[in-house]
Amino acid sequence: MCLFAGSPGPDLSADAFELDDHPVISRLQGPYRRGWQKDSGSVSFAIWCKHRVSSSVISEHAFAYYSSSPTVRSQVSFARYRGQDEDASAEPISNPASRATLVPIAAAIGVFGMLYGAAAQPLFGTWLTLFSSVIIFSGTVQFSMVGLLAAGAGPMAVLWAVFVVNIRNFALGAAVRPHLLGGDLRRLLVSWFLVDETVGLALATPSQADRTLVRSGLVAYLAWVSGTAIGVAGGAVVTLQGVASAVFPVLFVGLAALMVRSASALARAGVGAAVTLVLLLIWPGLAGLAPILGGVVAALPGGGGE
Amino acid sequence: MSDLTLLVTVAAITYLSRAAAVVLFPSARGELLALVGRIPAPLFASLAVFAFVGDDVVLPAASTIAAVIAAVLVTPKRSLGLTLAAGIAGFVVVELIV
Repeated sequence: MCLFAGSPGPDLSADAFELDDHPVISRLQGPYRRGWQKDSGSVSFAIWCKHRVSSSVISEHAFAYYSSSPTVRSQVSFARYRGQDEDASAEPISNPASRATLVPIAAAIGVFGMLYGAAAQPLFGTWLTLFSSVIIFSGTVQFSMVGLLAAGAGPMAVLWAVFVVNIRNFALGAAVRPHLLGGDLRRLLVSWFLVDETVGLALATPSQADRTLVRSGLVAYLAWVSGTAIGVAGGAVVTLQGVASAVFPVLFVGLAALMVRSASALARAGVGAAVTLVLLLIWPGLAGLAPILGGVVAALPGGGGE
Repeated sequence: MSDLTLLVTVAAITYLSRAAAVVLFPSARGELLALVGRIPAPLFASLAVFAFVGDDVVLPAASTIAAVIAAVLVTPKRSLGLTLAAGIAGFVVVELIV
């Protein structure tokens, strides 16, 4: 069972992450082992424990640990969980990237792929529509592009809109980057799967973010391309659109719930949702960026009301 | 600009924005790292609102509203699978009734 894994960065030595006296580690009975690995000038670390500890507690600890400076060491966050470490079954948590979770998400992505294929085929033709889903893999970008082209917009307007929509990737990448292991080449490859849904699933399992991002990304990618192919071929998708539309808000509610680990985080989630709604109401042209702005504004110091 | 050129350019912008976020930009440290750690919960709550009302901010169908309510009700369990199941169940129930 992996307790912690990550890369503290090139400016920190392994000694800075000495954890033997950590409130959680010191309370664990029995053997655990720790591994360090030098990689491209930075230090990757992993701490393993053979004891059964509640996954959600581990996840919380790892997340809190990453989120603080080495000097702070999240003592407050860890202290909140004292007394729960020994209770293995206190708070079982399902794997967010399990098959049961991925199937409805993939189905919904597939349906939207069908809708995209049906909408883009008259504009691009069969092969270019398929090609677009193969090389772009972004529902937000592709629907924006098709909508603008269908409305008579020129290529430069489309490219500008695409750039604006893609700004969201900076926030998603910043959130998931501390949990990605390996060097630049590995992160370069993994970044292909950086979309809202996969990032959410990866952040829900921070100790396995790489694997979750790739696994869920592959499923989403295959669903998106397959759905586009069916849509291009004229698949009947109208009856499925309703349930597909419902899956995404439900998915994000579930992901937000997994990320809420404190009253402060709950307050920030509420603030983020409210800011997004207000932005959408007063500035409709901001559609693609509103949720990102809402999320970042709520994350600012004081954004949760504390 | 041909359609093929446009699509390839769009793909390049999209991928570069993803790659830049996890490779080119420097790692967050200190207070910025703390801020990044606080982003996920409000970010996904914001995305939930956006997915719920859409970019034209309209109240969705009753079945979608039921799906979200059912999902919210089971969030204390902190299980994504259960949340999805509850949401789909809420959707189906209202679809059958209405």
